[in-house]
Amino acid sequence: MRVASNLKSRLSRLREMKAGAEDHPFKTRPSAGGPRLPTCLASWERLDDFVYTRRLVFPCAFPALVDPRPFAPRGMEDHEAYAGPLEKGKLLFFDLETTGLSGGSGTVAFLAALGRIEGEILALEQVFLSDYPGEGMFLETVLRRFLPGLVLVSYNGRAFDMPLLRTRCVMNRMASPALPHLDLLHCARRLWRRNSGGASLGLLEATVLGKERGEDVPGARIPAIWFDFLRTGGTGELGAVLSHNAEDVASLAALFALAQRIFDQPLHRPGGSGIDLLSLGRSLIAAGRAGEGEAVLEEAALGGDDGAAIRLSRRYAKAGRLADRKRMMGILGDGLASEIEKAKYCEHQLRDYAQALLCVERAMVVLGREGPLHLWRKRKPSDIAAELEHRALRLRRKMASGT
Amino acid sequence: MTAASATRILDEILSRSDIAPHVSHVEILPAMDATWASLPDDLDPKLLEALSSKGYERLYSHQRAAYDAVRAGKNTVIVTPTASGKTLCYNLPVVQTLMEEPDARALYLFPTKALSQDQQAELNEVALGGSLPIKICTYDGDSPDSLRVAARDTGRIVISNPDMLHAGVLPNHAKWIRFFSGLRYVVIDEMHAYRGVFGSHVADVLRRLKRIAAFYGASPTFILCSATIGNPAELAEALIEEKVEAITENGSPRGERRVVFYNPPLVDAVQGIRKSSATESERIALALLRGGVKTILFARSRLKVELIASYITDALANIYTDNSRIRVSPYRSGLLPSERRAIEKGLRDGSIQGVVSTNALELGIDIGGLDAAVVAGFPGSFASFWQQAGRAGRRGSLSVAFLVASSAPLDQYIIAHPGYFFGRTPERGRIDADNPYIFTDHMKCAAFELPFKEGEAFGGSGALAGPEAADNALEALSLLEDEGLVRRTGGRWFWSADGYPSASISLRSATADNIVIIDQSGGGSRVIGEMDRPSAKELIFDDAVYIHLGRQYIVRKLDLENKTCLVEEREVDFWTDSVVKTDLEVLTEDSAGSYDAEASFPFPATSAPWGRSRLRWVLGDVLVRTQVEKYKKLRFHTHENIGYGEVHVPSEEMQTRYLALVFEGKSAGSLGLEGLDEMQKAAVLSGAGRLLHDIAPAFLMCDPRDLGLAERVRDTHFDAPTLYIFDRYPGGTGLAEGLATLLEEVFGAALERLSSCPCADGCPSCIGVDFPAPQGLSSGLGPGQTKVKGMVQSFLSAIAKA
Repeated sequence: MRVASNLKSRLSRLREMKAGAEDHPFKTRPSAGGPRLPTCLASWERLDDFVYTRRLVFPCAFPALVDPRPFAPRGMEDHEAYAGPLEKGKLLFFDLETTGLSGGSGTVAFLAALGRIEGEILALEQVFLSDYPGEGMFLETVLRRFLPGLVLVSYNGRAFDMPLLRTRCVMNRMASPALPHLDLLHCARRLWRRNSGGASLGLLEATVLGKERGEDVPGARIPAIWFDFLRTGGTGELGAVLSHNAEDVASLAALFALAQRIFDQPLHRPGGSGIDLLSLGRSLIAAGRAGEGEAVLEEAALGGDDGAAIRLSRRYAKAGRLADRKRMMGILGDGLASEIEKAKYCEHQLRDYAQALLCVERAMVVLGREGPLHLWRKRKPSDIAAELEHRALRLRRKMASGT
Repeated sequence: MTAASATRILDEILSRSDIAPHVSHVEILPAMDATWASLPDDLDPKLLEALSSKGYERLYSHQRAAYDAVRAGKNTVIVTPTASGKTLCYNLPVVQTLMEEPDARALYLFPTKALSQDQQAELNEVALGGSLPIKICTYDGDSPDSLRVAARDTGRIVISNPDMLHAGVLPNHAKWIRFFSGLRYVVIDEMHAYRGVFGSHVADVLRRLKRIAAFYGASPTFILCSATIGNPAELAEALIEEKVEAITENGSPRGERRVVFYNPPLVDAVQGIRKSSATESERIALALLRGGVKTILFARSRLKVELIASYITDALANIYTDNSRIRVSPYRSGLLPSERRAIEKGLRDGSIQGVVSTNALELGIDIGGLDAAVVAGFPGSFASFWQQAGRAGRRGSLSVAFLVASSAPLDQYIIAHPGYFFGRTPERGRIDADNPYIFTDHMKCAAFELPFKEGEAFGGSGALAGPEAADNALEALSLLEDEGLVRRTGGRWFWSADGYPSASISLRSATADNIVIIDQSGGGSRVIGEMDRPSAKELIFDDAVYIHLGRQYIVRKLDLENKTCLVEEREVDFWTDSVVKTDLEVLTEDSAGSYDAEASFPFPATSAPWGRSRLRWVLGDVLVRTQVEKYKKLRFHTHENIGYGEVHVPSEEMQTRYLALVFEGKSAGSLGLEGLDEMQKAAVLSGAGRLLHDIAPAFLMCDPRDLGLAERVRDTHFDAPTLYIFDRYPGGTGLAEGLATLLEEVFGAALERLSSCPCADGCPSCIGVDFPAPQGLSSGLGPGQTKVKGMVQSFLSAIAKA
């Protein structure tokens, strides 16, 4: 069926046509010589032809003991690996730079930063891969730091860095590391996303830590910079990538320390006004620290967070703390959820149906005005409207029957 | 419907005075008894128990033969008609092996992108009622993340499709380490779907699959199932590049089936114009539906599907009877998955009695029991026809398939030759895994998945193994290196670009950049479908009428840059059809030969002894430039031309494979044109070209739209009258090469069609009616001006009978 294959000549014709069509940026390449030593790697130690390391230190005030539970993956808080308390020296902060952000077997890690707390400093080691053939050595060097007994700390490493590292190990037929892993991303999201407008490490570094980076590269540019370095030996921006990686891990450690302090002493916490107290309060309650959690929620409610007030109102209702619940009603604002909460309170607690109906009607007005703008608790405005109608109907019935 | 009532309804319809005269042939395919074989004696007791709980005490002979071949470790292809118990052919050996070997895994590939709910349910029967400890997972575009993780880690049988394998599994193979390490079987169902472009892509995806499996130390056995095609073993071997055992004896029973040939009446015998196959099919389908017969109607294009479905619904329209409670729905590609699911469900639960479909339903989507299939126009291949006819028919009852001929030459040829139709071997599936574009695309993906070693080949087994295959891979890698996509270092080639190569490579169309069609009626903005770019230029240009689910839309703006097409719903009484101009530039002459009594193939390009031959043929690469120039407005129902409009879209360029038929020197073809003037030569070439182009698909197992045609009275490249037939997929898919080996058959069939055509001087059923002017002259020949038909006939006889 197949005609004598002339695939090779057809391919070479394609190649010629493509080469002729445009002046190719990759047509000329540096002549192969010995391994190059770019200036930005001058102070690095060379481990072999393609792998370099360097050590850096950052000042880092860190609590001596760490409670891993607030950072444990959901559902794993009770796992023995996260039982804590943990000495700060047991933490291994890490971050990878890679040739792509979407993963897959062809995406390679070419730079790693690994940090340990030693007293008052963060001792950082970076490992750099200067070309593909060194990957085995690169991985070996990185994995040598993954000592048994340590606990990994990363920013989004659970979804990105670790799966990628495991893939690289499989590709190089090496055993994958298996250490307990604390991913700060989830906790950071809870604490800061609401008030920072996002939870990327760079953003939190600026808004929460107040740190300013001088020369930096956007993450999306990093693969291209490494490829450019491979092809041309050009190191224009490579230095910035190297320090970006180190800075990321330094910020990771600082942010982790801050989050730790907030959880240690939520009522005398550092960190200013950027914290989402509703979230913090809920986390504390979920961790079994009800007293502190309620106190934080009270603080939030008094600060005008109706979400916190509603949550507290329900807790107090369950616990039969009617005076506290009434107090919450006093500070509730006039948002959609607040009006609904007030309506429930009036209907079921006070049995004041007229007042309840008034709340429902106010809620309908709010919904009519804002409903389409944002999904309230991820529900469709039409569903909420139907629910309000239903509630109003019931209230009118109750009023009519006088029960 | 019982057999007796079915027979009665069918007899009634066939004897109607407006139908009976046009029925040219009724073939009765009698019921067949089963051939049985015993169950294998090495079956696991639990498996035996599960089988007997399902009522399996014995097997059809082909099921047993498949079991024995697969268990002996042979790659096996099973040729199975619809409803012959094919799933057991692969399930039995696979499940038995999986019971024996706790780490063994199997991959099942189906050609449809998203398996229907129904198919999944049926496939869960794979483990025979779930009574066996074999976990089955579906991994397709619709699977939620949690199920995907389960599929990777614990799925013993993973059901997927080539697209997911290509873009989801292989690029992430390291996550599938347990699966690949244990991979024992790969099942490829509906193998006949893997031909042409899609098949060529899939062959390369399988090369990648084998390469990754080898990385984990696995070399799976392949089990393939195919509908009846002429070369199942050959196609299977081309797909997996390994030796394959073919099992072609079917042991299953089947009910009686009747195939009715229907030739729409002549409206104008002199001009050979017949009533349209679409409207006649619609009439037959209506009669069947009104008789309570569940019917599927197959039409050739999306547009026709929409037109026919709406005509049928119009014909049934009666608000008092709720359209006689008969519901008919269009079903075609370009509908959203949810729309398709709703239609499938309606067919199964009986709320829809009829469906009008493109070949989307040809594949194994279970839509429950239909009793009749009406095929509007020969679908281009015999395998397709039998697949479509096979949609109707359940074991033990009568079913019927109507072939309603169009005026196309091929249809008219078939309708006049039922013996040929029922006697011939079905056509052969062709692929070209070495299409340079497809090959290079998959080299990219393969390099991403695993660096290439120096000297490593990518596919190419048997005669092609060894240095040549490695040279091909080296050439492709060098090309990718030039583009900065791979880096050669340390004895290996590494993928060295950001991103995922497979994300931008579609297995099903030439380009991944589809145009999204957005309905902006009433100020809204709703996505209603998508279309590939080259088709979009010809179908949804500014002011075109686009029909979707029976609704008409006017195209407001086709924005090629942003890949969107804005449309607005509007009732109009016409539709639009584009007029396309084609330019050719020959790039290479790779091989050539002469078509004569002892045609040898392939022939070296330099020494073709064309002097005494019928014609000379040349194969090579060509640059094809197409430009949509204008469009026609055609009125609904009458299809009369009511005006033209301008189209402004950039031209489309592609490199592909051509077959040139050169009528030069003293060849018979050249002599056949002797004594004609320029205008007559142009008319003859155009008429003969059209006929050959239209007949060829039956021999090539492709769609007529897969082939392009251009005729040149004074060809500037070959310097002689020349007909070009080219593959319409970039890089070609083996059609031009295939045609070069079939000239005898194609010329013979073309001449026979022309000789038996009743028209006076050309009609849509043979050489067409409008002949273009040769370049440089202002007007061509119209019908009846000269005896073009006679000239074409003597031209073709000069060649075919030389």
